[in-house]
Amino acid sequence: MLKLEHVNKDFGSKHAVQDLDLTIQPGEVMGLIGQNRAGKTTTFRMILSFIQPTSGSITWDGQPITDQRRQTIGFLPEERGLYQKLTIEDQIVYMAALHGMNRADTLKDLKTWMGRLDVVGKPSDKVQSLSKGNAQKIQMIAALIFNPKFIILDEPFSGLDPVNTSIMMDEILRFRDQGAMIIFSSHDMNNVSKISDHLTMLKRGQTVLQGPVQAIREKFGRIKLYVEAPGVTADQLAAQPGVVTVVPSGAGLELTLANEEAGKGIFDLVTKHGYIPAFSQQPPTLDEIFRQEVATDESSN
Amino acid sequence: MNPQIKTVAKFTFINHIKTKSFWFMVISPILFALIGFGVTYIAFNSANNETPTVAVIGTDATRSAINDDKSDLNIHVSKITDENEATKALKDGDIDAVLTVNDQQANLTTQPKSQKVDKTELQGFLQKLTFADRAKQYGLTDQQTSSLSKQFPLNTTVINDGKKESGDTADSFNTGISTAITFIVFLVIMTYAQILATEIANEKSSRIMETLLAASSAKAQFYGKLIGVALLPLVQFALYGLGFAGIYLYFKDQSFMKDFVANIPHINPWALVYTLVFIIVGVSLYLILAAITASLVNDSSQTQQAIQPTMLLSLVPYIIGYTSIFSGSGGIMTKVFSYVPFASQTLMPGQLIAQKTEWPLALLSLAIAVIFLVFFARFGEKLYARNVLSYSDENIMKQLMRQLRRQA
Repeated sequence: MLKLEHVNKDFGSKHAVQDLDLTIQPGEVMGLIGQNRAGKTTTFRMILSFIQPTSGSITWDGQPITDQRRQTIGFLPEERGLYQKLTIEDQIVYMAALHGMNRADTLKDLKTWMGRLDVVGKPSDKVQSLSKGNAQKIQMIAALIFNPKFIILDEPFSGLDPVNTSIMMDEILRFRDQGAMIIFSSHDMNNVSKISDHLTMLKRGQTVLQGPVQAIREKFGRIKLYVEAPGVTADQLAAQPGVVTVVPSGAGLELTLANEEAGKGIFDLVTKHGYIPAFSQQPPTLDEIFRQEVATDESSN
Repeated sequence: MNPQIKTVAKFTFINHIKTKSFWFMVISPILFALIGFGVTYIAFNSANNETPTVAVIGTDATRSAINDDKSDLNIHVSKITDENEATKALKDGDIDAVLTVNDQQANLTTQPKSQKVDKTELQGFLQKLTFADRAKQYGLTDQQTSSLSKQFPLNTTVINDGKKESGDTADSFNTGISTAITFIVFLVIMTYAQILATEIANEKSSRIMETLLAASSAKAQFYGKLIGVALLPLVQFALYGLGFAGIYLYFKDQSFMKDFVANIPHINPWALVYTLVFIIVGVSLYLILAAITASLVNDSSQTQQAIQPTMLLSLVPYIIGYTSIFSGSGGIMTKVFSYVPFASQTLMPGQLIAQKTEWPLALLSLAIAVIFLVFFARFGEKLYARNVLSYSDENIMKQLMRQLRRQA
């Protein structure tokens, strides 16, 4: 278990991270979200001992993270960096060797990994000849090939197309299922909600949201309603009590409610004449929650 | 050794040793030496290909003395004896020079396209001729003349490890050794500090440093890189050593090789071991300095800026070393700097081999350097760990001075 307790990090007068408490269990994925300069990368750097917290403690199974323990951490930094003039295999062999893996095993596993992540290229290709997406996959392989017990991924999906994003997500879930602890940051709330078991949202170094994804969403109430009801117009729905907005969305309409209870009235209205193809009342998406929190911050400034 | 330090050292070493640029660097001194020798040989031989034709305007005795086979002068004497005719022939390019000789002086007139006349050789010959003529005028016998011109003998001897050796040979050899040490240390520092600094700067600027430091400690990266790069000059000079050993073994029965070996003054083998150890210690200091300054760069375009402190500092022992060689003795600067880390590796070994210092003092100098190396390495490790992941717009020298002040 990874535990951060009352962790603070100051850079001069700037509070980069304030009183952060965070726990990740084996077999769990923690999504760390927040705007730029919220403190996500600073948190990762403190976990990796690149920088020391101003106060607080970071422990793994109750012990400080030693150099030996760090060898079992897989890290994908936000700023991608590879040796451009080295071949893929030379690069991976070196990175794996730093984590205690021998050359023969690395080369054997590399072929499997390249197939699984659908990397276009051969192990003997130089990194500089790879496309951005393939280079990113190579870096992901470097972070995961030695079967880490704890994985830190800083913006793992940035720059990837939907297909490659899906491949990466599958790998993250595979490691989770094998019992690894995983923490990752992303600006794509859709991806975060798909694979995160828990979530921590930082805003200017402070924790504003934390907990299981669904619980966080539920906290905001089921105020989002999607309906496909032929014969009921947007104006009719907008006139209903408790309806804040009505927005066309695909084949139907998306409603924002003032409270969950308003949904019952909407249901009665749209089903008055019988069958309707779609009615879904959900809490806001993570993306909507994130935007709302950011908007709250901006309006308070 | 920490396995990660070993991994980093091995990776750094192999990455460089398999590059064409490393092997070019190893071969290039030999190539340049061969090219230089070849060009000099060709130039010398082509310059001496043709014997210059000289018209000698002077007495018959002078002309016939110059023309005599026994004179050993490398000139062909023209049949022209008239000065005006000779001047015209020179202008027309028919002859290469006109030599006008009288009792007081000689004039040698050439033109730009002339074959070169060895003036030193000619002057020496005319000097001897004039000396002999004047001796006859003073009524001296041939024996008396010969004894006057004989050089008073001065033999020089050096007692080296109880053995007597020729002083001239010993002086030349010691100068050669000191020059070689000064030059080799400077060359190694310039080359390998640059390689190390470039490696660190590239990793920092390409942002791969974070990945490396997540997998290993800053200590492993620092010492691993130092060791990996430090092994490269050892390989380079081991290859040169093998090459020289091969040449010796191949030619050892040849007379020139036997003469050469017989003329080498005796060197204490322990002095050679001492020299090697000291050079390794000294170069390590410079590599640490290069690693510290390289950790301050933001991107690889700043590498030259980062390497400047190392280059400038390495000039100090280089200049002092050469000054002391050509002044023929160790001045106060040489004596003092022989104990100062960063300079002592260039100065003290030459002094020991030339027996201008005693073993206890030489060992003291080495001990000072080694102790300083240990502390400097720890200091460097801390600075490296602090700087290698931070990026600042401040000038590298300012950053370095600020860090040094903070540590002090």
